[in-house]
Amino acid sequence: MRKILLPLLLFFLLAGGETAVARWLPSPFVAPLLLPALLTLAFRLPATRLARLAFLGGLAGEAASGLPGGTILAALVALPLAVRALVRRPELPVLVRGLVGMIAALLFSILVQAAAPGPFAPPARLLAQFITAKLLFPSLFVGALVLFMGSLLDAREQRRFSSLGLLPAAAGGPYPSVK
Amino acid sequence: MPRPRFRVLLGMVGVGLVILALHDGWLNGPLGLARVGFAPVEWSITNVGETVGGVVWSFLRVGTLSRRVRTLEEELARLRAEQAREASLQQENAELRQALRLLPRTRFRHVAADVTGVSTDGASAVLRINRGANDRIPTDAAVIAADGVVVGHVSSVQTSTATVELLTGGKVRVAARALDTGAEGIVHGVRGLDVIFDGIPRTQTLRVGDRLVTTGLDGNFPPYLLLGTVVSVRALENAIFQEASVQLPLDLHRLKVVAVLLES
Repeated sequence: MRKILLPLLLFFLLAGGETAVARWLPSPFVAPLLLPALLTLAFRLPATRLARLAFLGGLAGEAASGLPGGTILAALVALPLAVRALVRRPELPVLVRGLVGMIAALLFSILVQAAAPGPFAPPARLLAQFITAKLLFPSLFVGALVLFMGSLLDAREQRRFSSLGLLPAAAGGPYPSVK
Repeated sequence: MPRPRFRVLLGMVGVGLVILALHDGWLNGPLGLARVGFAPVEWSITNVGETVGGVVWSFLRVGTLSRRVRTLEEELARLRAEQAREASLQQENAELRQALRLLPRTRFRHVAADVTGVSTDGASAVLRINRGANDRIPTDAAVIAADGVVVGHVSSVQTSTATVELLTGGKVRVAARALDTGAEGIVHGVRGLDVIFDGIPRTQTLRVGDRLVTTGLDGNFPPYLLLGTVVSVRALENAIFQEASVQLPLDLHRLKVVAVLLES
């Protein structure tokens, strides 16, 4: 039970933070928080646990952000799983993990923007603002957070976080195999 | 194919099915039920986030806040004077309409609602409010703030919550008129990047600083609700229509309380 409730609580806190960030950033800018959390974990967790966490995270984000369609929920599940399938090397330098996170966030932003109604690209006079505020800024933000959180987890050797049920019991030991 | 990859593939297919189900609205029922349970949590999260965000934001902007307060005080004084003038005009209008035996101009009543959530994905522009089917909120009802500023319309209703599509997002289109010049067109958002007043024939005059109000012709919004102010006008060579960028009077993502308009 703790393995479900505590991560859910953590993700609710992140979702709340995301809502707060969304309210206080200048209007067209967005700064996702759930996504970097899930991507950071994607480098470490077995796929099944990651899928569960991604779903809980997506659900928390969906509930807290007021999104109607749940596109973000589906994308939040799909993206960490895809990253997990492609990159299963926790020994990668954190800078590389941050870069992968940034690329994944860019794909996420494009997916979410493509799911929005209307033409994908706005009028030419708004294109620069669109690319900056909707694609580049969130990607850089996520990349930086993945880097930061990855460093943090490395520095703590995963011990403190394992008590929250977010990391496998074998944390710090050999990388867990995908179940 | 190795087993783990097969599982990941299955997961991706599952996610694809979820996307399809969400897109076609098959999951609206379960999502509505989930939102009933999440509503109190969502509200608490928003309040905590808002408080923390407010403190941090105030701290970061303490230098500019005092200047802003002075500007707002001047604006408040001007608005109070304008409100006093409008109150006398409204009274006169009511007396004249009574004398002419005309029906009241509006037939709407307000239902106040707290904003419990705001979209964070950058693509949609929605708010979640703590009023729903229990409060007889219908889909497509107009939502306003500050006693007359258009916010958007209700896009979906759950038992105790509703989702409001904001004017900035692009899904809401409102028939509008410039108060000062009488130019008429449509106001809509562009992916949260800009709000545009377009479809205005070039034969009509449009000036920077014009205030835009609803006309009521679209059937969703009652007339004379404030939409915003024209900040720039564009007219391409040989184009039949001109368009303008609109500055909204409020930041719709930072609203705490809104009102849903119901026909009485």
